[in-house]
Amino acid sequence: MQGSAFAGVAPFLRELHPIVKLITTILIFIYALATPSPTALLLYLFLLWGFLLLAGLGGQLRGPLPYVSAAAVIVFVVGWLFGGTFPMALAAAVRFFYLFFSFTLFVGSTSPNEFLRALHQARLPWMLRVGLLITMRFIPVLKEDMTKIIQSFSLRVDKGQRRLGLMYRGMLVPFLFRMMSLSDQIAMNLQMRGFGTKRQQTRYRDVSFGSYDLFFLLANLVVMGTIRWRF
Amino acid sequence: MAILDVCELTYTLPENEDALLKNISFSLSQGEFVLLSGESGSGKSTLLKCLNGVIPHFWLGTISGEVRLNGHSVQAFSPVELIARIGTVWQDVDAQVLHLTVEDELVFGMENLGVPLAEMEERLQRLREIVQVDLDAVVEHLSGGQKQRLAIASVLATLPDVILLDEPLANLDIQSAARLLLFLKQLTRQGKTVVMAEHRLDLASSHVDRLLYLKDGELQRDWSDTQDIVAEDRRRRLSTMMPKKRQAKPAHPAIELEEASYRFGRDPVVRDLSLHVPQGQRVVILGENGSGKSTLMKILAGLCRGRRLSYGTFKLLGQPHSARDASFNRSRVGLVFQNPNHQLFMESVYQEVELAAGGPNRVDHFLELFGLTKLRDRHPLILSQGQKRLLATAAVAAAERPILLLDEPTIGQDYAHLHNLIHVIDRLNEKHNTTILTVTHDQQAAYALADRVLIMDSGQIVEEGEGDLVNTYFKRLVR
Repeated sequence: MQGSAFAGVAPFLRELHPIVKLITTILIFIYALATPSPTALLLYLFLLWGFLLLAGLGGQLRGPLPYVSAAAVIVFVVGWLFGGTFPMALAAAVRFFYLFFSFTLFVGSTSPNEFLRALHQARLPWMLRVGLLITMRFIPVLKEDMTKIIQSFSLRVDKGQRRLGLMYRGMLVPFLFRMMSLSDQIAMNLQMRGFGTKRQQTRYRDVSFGSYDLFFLLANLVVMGTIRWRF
Repeated sequence: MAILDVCELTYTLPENEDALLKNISFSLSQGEFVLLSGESGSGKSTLLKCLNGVIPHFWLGTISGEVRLNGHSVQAFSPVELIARIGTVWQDVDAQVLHLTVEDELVFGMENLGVPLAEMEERLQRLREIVQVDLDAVVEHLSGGQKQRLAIASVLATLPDVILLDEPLANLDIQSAARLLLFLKQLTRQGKTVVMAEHRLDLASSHVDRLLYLKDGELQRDWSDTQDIVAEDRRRRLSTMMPKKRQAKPAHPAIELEEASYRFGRDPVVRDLSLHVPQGQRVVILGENGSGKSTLMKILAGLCRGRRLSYGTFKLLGQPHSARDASFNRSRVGLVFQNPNHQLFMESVYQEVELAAGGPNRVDHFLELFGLTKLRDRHPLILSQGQKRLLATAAVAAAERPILLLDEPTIGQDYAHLHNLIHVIDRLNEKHNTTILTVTHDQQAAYALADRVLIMDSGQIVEEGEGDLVNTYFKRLVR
């Protein structure tokens, strides 16, 4: 059983236009940066969290959440200890969650090809499209490679030998080598599958804006604006 | 008329004097199934790149002679014109499969070439039969064999006349490899010409119509009699390795593992597995892709931890395993991973071995043992794949851990490198009494490396026996 991509994601998020999802992601991030009030930040964050859980992305949030929380705690402690006020430090920590949630909203519910089709329709340059495709498709591959590299290093090098320079070499050299060879192969494969040609292309599935997309975008803006205005 | 004509082809990389391909000439007919064989670095992949136009369209260098497709020079075609005529499946399917779902992957090439929607739908239904999985299946969840079929199907989507494959059997178990070869044979019956670069003849020799053998960039031989090809394969295999039979000696236990289980998510990958291996024994673990062989290796190396791992007894060299002490396994077990590129990071071959070996005398000893003395000053990442694998093994073996685990050491190895690797592993076992566990899909290597054979299925050891079980197992699979 192979399972469908995004099978667990609710249709109200899965069927949203990819560009609307991208715009929403960017808006969330801008909101996080432009909102100084921790109350406003926390309130929207909880609403966003609830939305992601309703949309079926809970499973995708669960894995990285402890690491994001740990990073946020570090940011909070450092911010508070080194001259910041409590609200400033809290806001900085909460922004970490915004980055993670908005990224999950987009990547966890969008197929790369669907996104490419949408970008193609929006007439975006192919170099930009290829960069986005590679990021979305190959992050899991590189993550798996990194795990193997770390495991291999930990088995080869004793604790007593682990100087910073050696750790840097042991992790970074194989990773960079893999990244370079992978990007080389991907670029060649893309060209050999006709990507970036000036020919008239066809689309197997059309991606089009609908009234629901507009409603979603406006509803999100209204919620953001109201919270920002009231707090 | 020949579909592909190669005339006096010579290719040299920029700023290099030695040509990678030297004066190669041959012709391929429609419906021919051709095996391109030769040692590592003999120019097989470079020749494929000349046939599909990657050289000179994407790779620089000096090219003389000509490759003609249906009578027209490949250089005269644009890359887009070529993809509708020649399709290529590269060795690393992970880099070839670009999308998250099977459907997206299959339609990608057709969309880019502007294939009309109705025709796209029709082709998609035919391709679905090739891939044999749902169109909305997630690529990440496919097995190696399924990904390989997907990569081939996505290439077939643009209806090429010629299909080139670079070591497609490298990561497949024998059943998946046999299925793939039968499928390629079917394609040739439909009029497609298939050229497959592959180190090893044993799996492919009985399916192909012709064998081109490259050595040092030259076309050394061209066999077109299938009986000659099978005979040549047998000759090479016999000259490559014969198993060393040895008397079992009473020995202390090296590995004692009982009722071990490991889950990945909710699915058990290893289930209630028990394994006892005495010191100095050479054990070969066989089984299909996904049977839990590599996970067993990782358990033994201490890389599987936490609540997902459970066991009744786990002792190495008589000492109980300590989950808290990360150095417990590291000081007893060496693991050579499938991909040597993950393991090599120093500036020279010498430094790689020195990291584990300590003093210069011991470095020299291991370099000599593994036949790497001549390469001692080379950068590890510029070595051939076979040399890298040998170096990764040397770098782990130099730490002289009493238990050595080898995960698929034969991938990408030609006969000469394979022979060398087996010889070295044998010497290591004899000289240092190293306990060696090898996971492999390779019949010859398994036969040569086994005092004892374990067969795994669905995370359990389902059968075990002496070295002869290797041949019984592989015969059963082929049937």
